[in-house]
Amino acid sequence: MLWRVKVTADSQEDLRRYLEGSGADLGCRPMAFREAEGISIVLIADRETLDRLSARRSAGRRLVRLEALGDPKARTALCGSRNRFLKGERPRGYGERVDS
Amino acid sequence: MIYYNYDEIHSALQLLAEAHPGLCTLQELPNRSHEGRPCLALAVGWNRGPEVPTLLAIGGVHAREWVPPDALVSILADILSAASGRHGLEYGGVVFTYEQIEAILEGLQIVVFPCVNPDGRVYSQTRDPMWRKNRRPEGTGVGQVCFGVDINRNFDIAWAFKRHFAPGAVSASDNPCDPQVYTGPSAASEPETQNVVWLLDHYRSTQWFVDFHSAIPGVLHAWGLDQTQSSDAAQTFLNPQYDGLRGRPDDSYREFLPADDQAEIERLSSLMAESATQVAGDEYGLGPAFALYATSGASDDYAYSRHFANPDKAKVFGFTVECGHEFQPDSDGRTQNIREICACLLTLAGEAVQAGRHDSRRRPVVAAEPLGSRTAV
Ligand SMILES: [Zn+2]
Repeated sequence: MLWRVKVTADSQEDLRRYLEGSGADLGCRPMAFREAEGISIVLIADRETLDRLSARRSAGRRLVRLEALGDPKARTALCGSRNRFLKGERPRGYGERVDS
Repeated sequence: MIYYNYDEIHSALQLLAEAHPGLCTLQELPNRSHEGRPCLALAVGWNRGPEVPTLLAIGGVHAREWVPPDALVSILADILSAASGRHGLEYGGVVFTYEQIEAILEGLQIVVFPCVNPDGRVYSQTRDPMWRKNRRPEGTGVGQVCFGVDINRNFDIAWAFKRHFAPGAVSASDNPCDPQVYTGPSAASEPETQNVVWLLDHYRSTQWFVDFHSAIPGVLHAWGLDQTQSSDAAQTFLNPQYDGLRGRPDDSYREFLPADDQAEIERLSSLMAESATQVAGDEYGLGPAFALYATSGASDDYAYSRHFANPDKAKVFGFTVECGHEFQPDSDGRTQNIREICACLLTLAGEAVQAGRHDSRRRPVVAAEPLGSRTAV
């Protein structure tokens, strides 16, 4: 099971220390955001990573579980092995037509 | 079944090229993927070829980010249908008139490489949805084989991260078993990376480059290597004097970014973020790619670095656009993210045409304010 998790620390330096060796998946690029309560990052964590991060919590460090990522099987069901474009479908976009 | 599989992406490009031969050219890339899959790009515009001012858009570098390849197929279908049907396009509240689209196709070549990492996409869509890297097998020397290089740490820009950066400053790994950010055995070692490099070399008039990812909405720009400064041209990734010092925030080393480039990069980022935000009200932030950590070997920095490393090469403004909040949103989320990417890319294309027409990149421009509070630090 995987969760999206928001991790916050008082400073960028402490956020790095907090995450060091945690095994957290920092996503595409490790983007951190300055917010009122400190520096935050949204990451992906499994149970072990969550436990590690929870154990390291201290003053100024916060950990908020946002949501579960869902069942991997359900996500692979969003894809198929058929090639719809060999069966007569044509590629289409999602822009609405605008007549000038 | 809502996402395109790799065969469908391949077929979609072939069908679009067949249906619109006057307006696009199918480009087979020189390298097949590690598992032998052929790779295609499509060049679109009334004028096409290596000398035509070009915007290069890529997607699917990270396998688990399923939306960008679908979005890039969609925008190709939209543009070609608008041009042949002589109509404009609307994405949420963002409108591009037929005249604007025609001006883009007259003044610019858009080269789209929707799925850089086909093996990774197949593996992610059939076996492990969280798979990010390509599928290079690599022995570890102890009888174990691990798979995959992070293509977005494999480009030839400060690739040797242990030499270039301060310890612990960079998001990269030289461990082939690292599930996310293994840099590969050498710079640009991967056929998937080499295909992107080939496009930049072949379309040598490329001046704008966007690599589409997900899933924190925002537009990222130079540099990912360190914070930036515009006064000391000696502080660059090329200068070995600063090896081992890069990547730490708020110290004396900052990567050189000429002031006029910075202004233009920020202006374009702001316009892209604004148009993506306007589609559905989801706020796209913007800022330098250097955030919590430095990044080495990333595509956007590589594209922009090329003219510093070799003055014979054209200057390319490189961007990374991340869409949405999930790697694999449901159907509605996918559609919204596709529209955001399309609005963003057509906005950049419109600006690129203006830049070509009036050479506005040489005009002093005022950097727009970042949008809201979601600016990367
Ligand atoms: Zn990514």
